[in-house]
Amino acid sequence: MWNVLYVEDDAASRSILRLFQRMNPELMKLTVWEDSQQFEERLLALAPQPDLILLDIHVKPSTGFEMLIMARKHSNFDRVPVVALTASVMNEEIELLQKAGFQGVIAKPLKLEEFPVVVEHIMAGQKTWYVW
Amino acid sequence: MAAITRFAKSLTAVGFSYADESDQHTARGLIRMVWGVMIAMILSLFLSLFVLSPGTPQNAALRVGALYITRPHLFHIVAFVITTGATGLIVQAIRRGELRRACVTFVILLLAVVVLNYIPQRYDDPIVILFSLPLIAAGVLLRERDLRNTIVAILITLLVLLVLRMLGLTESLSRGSLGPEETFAYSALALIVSGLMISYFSGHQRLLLDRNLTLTADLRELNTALERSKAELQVANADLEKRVYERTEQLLLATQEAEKANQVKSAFLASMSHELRTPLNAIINFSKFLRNGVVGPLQDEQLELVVGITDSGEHLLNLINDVLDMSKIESGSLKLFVEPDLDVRDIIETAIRYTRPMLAEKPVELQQELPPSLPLMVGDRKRLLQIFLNILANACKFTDQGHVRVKAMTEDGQLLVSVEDTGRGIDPSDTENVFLPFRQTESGLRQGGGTGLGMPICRNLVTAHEGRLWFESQVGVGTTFFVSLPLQTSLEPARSK
Repeated sequence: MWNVLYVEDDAASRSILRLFQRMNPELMKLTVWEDSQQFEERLLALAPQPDLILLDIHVKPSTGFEMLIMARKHSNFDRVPVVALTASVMNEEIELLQKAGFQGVIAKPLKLEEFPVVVEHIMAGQKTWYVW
Repeated sequence: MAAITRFAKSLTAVGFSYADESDQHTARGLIRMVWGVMIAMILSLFLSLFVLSPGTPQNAALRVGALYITRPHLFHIVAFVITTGATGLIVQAIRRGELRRACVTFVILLLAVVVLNYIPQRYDDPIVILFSLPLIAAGVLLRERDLRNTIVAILITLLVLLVLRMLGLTESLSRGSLGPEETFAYSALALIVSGLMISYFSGHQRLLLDRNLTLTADLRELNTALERSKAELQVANADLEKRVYERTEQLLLATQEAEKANQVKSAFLASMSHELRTPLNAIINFSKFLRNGVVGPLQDEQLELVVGITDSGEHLLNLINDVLDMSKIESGSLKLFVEPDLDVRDIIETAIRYTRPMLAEKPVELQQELPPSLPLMVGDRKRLLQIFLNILANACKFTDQGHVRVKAMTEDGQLLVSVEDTGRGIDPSDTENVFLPFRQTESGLRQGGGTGLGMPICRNLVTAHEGRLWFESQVGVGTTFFVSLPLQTSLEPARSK
């Protein structure tokens, strides 16, 4: 069972992951934030500490890239896998994610059948760049 | 006083420059020479009057005049002839701007005057004149570096001397016992002979000079023409350089504009992809939740409609992906994200897992014959999956009964994957439509739901991996697609981290 933090400003996307979690309650516990206000402070205050962070990229006020940097500043978050959950999955955009240091990308639309496998891969330390 | 007078007369040689400058030998040269002599006489008279003997002008003038008119002394004539020729040469040299040569000739002239001045007794011997002739000729010719004619002139003179000697004339000529008339006759003869010789040789030299001048003029013309064409070339060159520069500038601008347009296009495509994928996320996944009864069971009719939504959503997603891929392929901007150590077996199994649901309601068996281990590959994981997924999906789509069999093996440094189906097969007339964008086979069109882009994209992706994609088919029996990928490629992993 993984503690997953998901930051997403698109309501539909949030609902999808919440429904998925409801269907697979044994897979993960889900914390969902609608924006990135005071992301750093909230992240540090979050208990229990997340095992996996899923970030949308086009979030306000801090983007996914900025949130990644904030998380990586703290020693207790520098090993937590951070994965982009985004619809920006053109090659150039994925290259940007890779350069920024994301451990992978999960493309929107989500392929929920694959979601458990992907999470498993990520938690096993693999980089996942599947886009369907 | 006598020496001064002789020196003054030597200056009359200025007049001879006309003869020396004359174009040809023979009569015309002679006439010119006579004119030259007259001018020289007058000049020397004036010179001796006003320059050399300022104290006793009348006396000097009378003496010089008397010398010419009453007693043309042989020695005077010798001095006259030598100095005339030499002075002519000096004048000529000055005219041509050859100052060094003029100076040398002048020194020779002075030496000749000095030498002649110190022949004490024999100065009026005609033989001296005869000896002086080769001296003059040799001087003229040596100056022109005409060695051959110099030798000829000397030989002629020696021959004349020999003849005179054989006739026994040298003795009487050198005895100094000639009367005034004889002396005059010899002197006149010597004057004429030496004049002719100078005229001849200087004429000859003139010819050479003319030829030389003509050549020089030709050369100068050529040179001018060369200079002109060189200048023209330089102008043309500068013009060319300017044009090249302008072209380069234009090209640079065009390239920059194209790059900018390309960036705009890329940005547009990226944004379009994002904007379409976001609502599709909701359409596809919400409809799936409904279908799976997450929010309560659906009636059959409702289920059918919801499945329609999911399928259409997925179709739209595929369409977007395909159109974006094709646009990248056609603009040449399709880039592989190359990773090392790809587990091909895992990728093939993922593709099989994705397509298996397509056969859920058909009596078709999906078989896999994969060796327990396949070599690790270098390539783009997502694109390789896309290739296998596409081929498998086609096989499942067009097969209504029988099997779809996926095989993989390595041979000759290649990974060979084949997907065999027992579908309806591809008609030979449709063969080329398979790999042409926006074209579909007959059965593909009948079946519907395709974009006509899948296979063209696949082939491009395989080619990008330096591999080959082809198929064999028999109508009514089935189709087998082959993908062969080299295990050793020139692909460079983007970042190994």
